[in-house]
Amino acid sequence: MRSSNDPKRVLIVEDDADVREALAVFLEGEGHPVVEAAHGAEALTRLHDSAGICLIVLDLWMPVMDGWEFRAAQRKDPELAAVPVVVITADKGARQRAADFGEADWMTKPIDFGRLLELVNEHC
Amino acid sequence: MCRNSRSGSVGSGEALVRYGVAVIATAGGLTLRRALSTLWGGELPYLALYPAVLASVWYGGIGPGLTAIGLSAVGAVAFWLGPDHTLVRPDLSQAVGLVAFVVMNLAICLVVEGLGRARSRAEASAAHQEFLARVSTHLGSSLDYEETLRAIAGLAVPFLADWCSVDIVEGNGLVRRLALACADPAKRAIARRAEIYPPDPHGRHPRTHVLRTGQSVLMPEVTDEMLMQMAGDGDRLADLRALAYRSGIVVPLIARGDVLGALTLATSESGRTYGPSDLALAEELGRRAGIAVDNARLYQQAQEANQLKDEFIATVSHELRTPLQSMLGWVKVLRQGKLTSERTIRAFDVMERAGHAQARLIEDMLDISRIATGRLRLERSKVDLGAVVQSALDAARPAADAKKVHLEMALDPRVGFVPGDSVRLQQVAWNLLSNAVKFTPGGGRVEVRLEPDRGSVRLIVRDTGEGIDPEFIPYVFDPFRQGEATSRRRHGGLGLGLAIVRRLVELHGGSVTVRSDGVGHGSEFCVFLPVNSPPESPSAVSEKGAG
Repeated sequence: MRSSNDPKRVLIVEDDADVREALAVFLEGEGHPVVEAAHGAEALTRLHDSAGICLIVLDLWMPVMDGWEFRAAQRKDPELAAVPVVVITADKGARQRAADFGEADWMTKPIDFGRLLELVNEHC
Repeated sequence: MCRNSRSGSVGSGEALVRYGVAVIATAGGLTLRRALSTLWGGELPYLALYPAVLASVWYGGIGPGLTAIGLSAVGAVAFWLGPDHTLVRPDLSQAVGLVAFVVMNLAICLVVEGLGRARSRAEASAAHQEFLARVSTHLGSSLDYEETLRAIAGLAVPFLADWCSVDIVEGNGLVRRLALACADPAKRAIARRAEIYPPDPHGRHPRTHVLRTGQSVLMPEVTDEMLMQMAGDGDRLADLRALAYRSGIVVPLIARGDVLGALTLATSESGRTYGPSDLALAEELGRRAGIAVDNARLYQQAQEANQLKDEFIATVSHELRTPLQSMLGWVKVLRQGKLTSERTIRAFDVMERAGHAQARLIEDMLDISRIATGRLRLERSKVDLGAVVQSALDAARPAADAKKVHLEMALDPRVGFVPGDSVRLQQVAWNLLSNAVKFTPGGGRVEVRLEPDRGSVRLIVRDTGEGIDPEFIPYVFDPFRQGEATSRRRHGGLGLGLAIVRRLVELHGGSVTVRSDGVGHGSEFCVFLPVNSPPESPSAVSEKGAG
């Protein structure tokens, strides 16, 4: 269970290692600890293992388990469903096709890191 | 057999009526003329008999017409030419009159019969036209050809047949029954059972013959021997006998020279037999149905191509944005000014790599565009193929080392120079190699062999990687195709590399093949290049013309 004493952390779910690292280094540089996952299945494990995750930064096109499948699994799990999600995707048409995605912020790559930082500050 | 006797009794009953009308009309004519004897005496002996013959031939056709002529002649001799109620030979002038009567009435019979035939032909033709018009309405109304073919079978029964089926050759070569219509619902179950029999390998069924040759088959009378020939085993023969075919037609569904399927028409309970005019109508029906199937399939292909294009555009967007994100992300991180010098070097490495990746994507897209418009040209010279493969290998080595993929090379020194474009041949080797490294997990092996092969040179790139799904093998060299579902792919790229390889190899007069024992079993690409300059191929000439 999470408690107010746990450090708040951002979960970065992104398969491209270079992009993931840039996001992680940037957010840590701004004082936000991060947890990294290379695909949806790994992200689910991280969510269960790590306490205090305050925001999920989610890519959509990923191997093993893509962003849509991850989101469906997350919403089905009552422990995880409430964690807010910001989608970062290089697929510009994805938002129109994501009818049953639930509440989420959407950003198209290349994303504005300043705007992402605002969202992280808001949620964490 | 009971079917035959029943239809026979129907036929003889109808004939009885027709000949009965002839006898009654003639008897009426003779009676009337005799009644008028008191008025006319021997004058105008045949006046009342013309209408009798005319009525007989009009109603009953040529047979009853001839009967009426014969009866009229006998009656005339018996009642007024000779002494009454005797058949004494008439004198010469009477005989001439009698012969004239017979000849004139024969002529009338032939004319009336001809008119009757023409009328029934016109009626049949009008009915055929109306039928085809109704068929055309259905053909134009839907792009779902299964629905269309079911509608056609429904129209054919009972107008053309008691039984109609449409069988289509599927992409895998198997024949599938798409439509079935039966006048007798009880036969539906039997017909359904008949369709689950495996296709007859010996082609004894008329449908198999039609599908193979594209030639129609007309069976005016279906005999039990024919049924035995069609049936492979006892059960099937029993079913075919139960369907009680009397007459049958099988025509091909043809479009642009290809046999797409077969339309089968058969009669049973109606007792109708097919002739050449029915065959002509059935063939027209087959042609129209074939065009409908072809149009629907072309539409489907166009839809698929369109979808492929949309997916490709989404992939291009994704593949260009990802390195862009990498570059801009690291710029942002550098601007934070908090990086160690080690991380700063890494940031520049990433940005450089991302830039090169984007440049390569753009080059690939331009190449595919050149290929599509026929503007891809070779700068021909003598190429040291060994050196070209070696430099491609050197270029691929960093990526292979990073993944811990082992690269092996065996260059046969007998391979010397080949005619071609060294930049493009290096692109071929690089695309195959980088693909192999990309799809081979860490610890795997990529093997490159270059060797002479009977007047040509063979470049083999073999890997122990993921292999290729057998279903995907036919599309491996198609542009825009990738083996994985778009959103869950493990590998980037636009799916253009192998399409470019194939075109470049073809422009060199060579060929490329692929082999894989399935997913998880690695794959092997083999490029054959001629050692002598290829003759200028027609496509190469036209490309130069287009450029």
